[in-house]
Amino acid sequence: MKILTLKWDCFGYQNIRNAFKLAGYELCEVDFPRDKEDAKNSEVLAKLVVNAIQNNKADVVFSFNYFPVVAMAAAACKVKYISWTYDSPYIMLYSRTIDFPTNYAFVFDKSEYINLRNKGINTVYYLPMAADSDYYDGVIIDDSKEKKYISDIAFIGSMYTENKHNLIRHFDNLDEYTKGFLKGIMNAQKQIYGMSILEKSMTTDVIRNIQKVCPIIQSGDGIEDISWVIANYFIARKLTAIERTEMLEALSQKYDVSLYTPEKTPNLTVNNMGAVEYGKDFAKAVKGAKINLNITLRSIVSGIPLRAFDIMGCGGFLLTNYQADFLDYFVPDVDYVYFESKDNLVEKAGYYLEHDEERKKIAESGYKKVKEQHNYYIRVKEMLKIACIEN
Amino acid sequence: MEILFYRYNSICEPDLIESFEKLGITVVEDRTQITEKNVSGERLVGEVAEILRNHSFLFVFSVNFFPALSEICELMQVPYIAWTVDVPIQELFSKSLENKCNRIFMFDKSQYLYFKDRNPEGIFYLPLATNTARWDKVISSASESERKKFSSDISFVGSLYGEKNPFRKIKGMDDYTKGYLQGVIEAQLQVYGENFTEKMISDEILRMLEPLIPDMHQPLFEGNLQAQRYLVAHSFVGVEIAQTERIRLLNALAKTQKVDLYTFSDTSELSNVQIHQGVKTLTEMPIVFNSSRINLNITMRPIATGLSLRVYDICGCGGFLMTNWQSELPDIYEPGVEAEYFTSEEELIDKAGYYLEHDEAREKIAHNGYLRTVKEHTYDHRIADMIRVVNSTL
Repeated sequence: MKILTLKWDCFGYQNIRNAFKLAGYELCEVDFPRDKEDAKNSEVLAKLVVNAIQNNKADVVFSFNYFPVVAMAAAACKVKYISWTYDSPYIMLYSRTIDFPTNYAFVFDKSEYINLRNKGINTVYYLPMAADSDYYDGVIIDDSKEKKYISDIAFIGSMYTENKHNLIRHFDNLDEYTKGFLKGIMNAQKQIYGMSILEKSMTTDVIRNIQKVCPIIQSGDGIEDISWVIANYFIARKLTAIERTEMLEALSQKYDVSLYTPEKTPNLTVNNMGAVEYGKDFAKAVKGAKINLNITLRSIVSGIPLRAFDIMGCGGFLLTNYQADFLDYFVPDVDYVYFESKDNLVEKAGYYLEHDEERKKIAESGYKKVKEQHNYYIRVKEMLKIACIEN
Repeated sequence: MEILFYRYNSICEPDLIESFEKLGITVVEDRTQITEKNVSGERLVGEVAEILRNHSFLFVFSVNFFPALSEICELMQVPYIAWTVDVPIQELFSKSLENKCNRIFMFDKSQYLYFKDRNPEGIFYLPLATNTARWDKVISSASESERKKFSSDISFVGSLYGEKNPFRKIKGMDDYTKGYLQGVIEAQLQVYGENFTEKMISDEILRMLEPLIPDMHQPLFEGNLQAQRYLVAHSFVGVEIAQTERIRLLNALAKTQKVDLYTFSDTSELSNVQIHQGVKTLTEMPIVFNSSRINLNITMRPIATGLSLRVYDICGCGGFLMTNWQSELPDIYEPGVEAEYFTSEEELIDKAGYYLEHDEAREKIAHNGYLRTVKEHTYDHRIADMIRVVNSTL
């Protein structure tokens, strides 16, 4: 059995290849320039994949994230296409190609999986992310030279305040009613974890008003609703920016907080350490912190973000907003801790900074679970089982 | 043993009197509020003071809370027992709530939690109830034609709030605030089990609304942001949510099912719903509940967690209850066994369709709900609990 993996600058590429190898599969790969071509319908990409399948005599194609052109190529060659999508929101999952019978599209957010299934799409499956603990085990902080990684509380991630994320700069041109409306639903959403009210709240009037100032072109090839695009690509990001800012500011008023992000944050009291590369430096930042935060991007409705697995996989103590999928695999206050509001976050951060023993015990328990049950090998076995692929 | 029952003609009063009397308590009634409207506080105090001077009572009782009554009881050192049956009750913001003579029982846990710290020794939680014996009589003596007249697949007895909705009467709101509140309403409509409306009414919104809502300047609310927030959230926005919700849910159901509505409200926004005149609570409502295959309950949002009178009445009449999810439901009726619930429009339509096709399952649930009501949720049970609590605190 030969598996063709599509190479692009995704997370976990080597991890997944190693896992396939460990599972006893032959591998081949092809460069997939999805940043240069349109992965929805580029003939160039489609041909590239078809050729790679045929030249390598591949039986299965794998990629991180789902690409319609790959689905088309795999279907044309009558081979199975396994994809594992870790991005959110990810509009290409709504491509009309999604229900090709050769597809096995894994998504890490159970809510998204249920959403798509409710639309009648039977080719999607739920598969949470994973971490490579073995790699992280080998990363050690040099206490004398790398003091910059030592912190009480660390947050690694985007603040979503940069303009390239914040397409909401268009929204300055919105009418007052719609501005108020969006503020209303964002404030409401802030109160709730485990469910997204953003998409269904928007009335046809509001959608029309948004379209007037910021025409959102529907893909034409997709089954997504305009309200889904607005809610997930715009509102969810804006809300996350607000929440991350408010929460980090509240924390840094009382505690020492290190923020690892590429964006400038002149209005925050945190120690802005700049960006940190995924891999060694990321692991050092996690290991150097007593508490590691996760404040989930709001378009991830129930899913466990990749970051959370990486934090636990590094042995870090995870303090996260409530996300429902955690409860499928982890026990709160045993493997990790969750907060339900900004005040709750500040309270718990304070508590765990003062209770070292408890904190370390929880981190250790989470680490063990991730190492044993949430590695790439276990995920690969699960994917292949569901796709009915045997060696 | 005598009590003074200060009446204003709440529908529960006759049943409460009956329950008190069953315990051997003689009930003396003051019916001034029934015969005359808008009795002034002074008049009330004067009158009741006179009665209390000439007579020794175990306690004074009323449904809902009368600050003036509490004042006179405090003065004359007579216990004042009140049982709330509604939300919002603006009088609870009165300073009189803190009087030591008070023993106030609140039917909605969130209402109880909101007010209890103002009088920790005097505020308690006590869910509502119904009088199954009364309904049994009415139902068993219903004629064939009455049963036929009120038989239904899905019925809803109640107001659509149009006539009681002050939100739509507010004039002069700026567009931003209009949009903001509409966003909050749309969001809240999707969520059952958590009422976040109050948290959404910021101080800025209150400042914006102050010149537009005269009620905010009533003595109980003037200068009190907390109280004004409660008022706006529950008496205004909450009612708007209730109206919008009932219309949307009824219309959605009526697309595929036959829905009978018994109401006095304006029904112009409904389509495909079978509209009937409002029914008489004591003589016709029980027959509706007993003759309908499914009885809807859509709790108005200000009742954030509790079960309204309607819930108990439906079950007490042997009706199958299909209610919106309220977090106190499992305490009273076992979901799926003694009553059914929905947490979204989709779920309501789904379950309604299911139970219309599964008579046996539906009838079993209705019967279980009835048995549970007889066993644990009558006024006799509640009054006994109430007296026990009062005795232990005196």
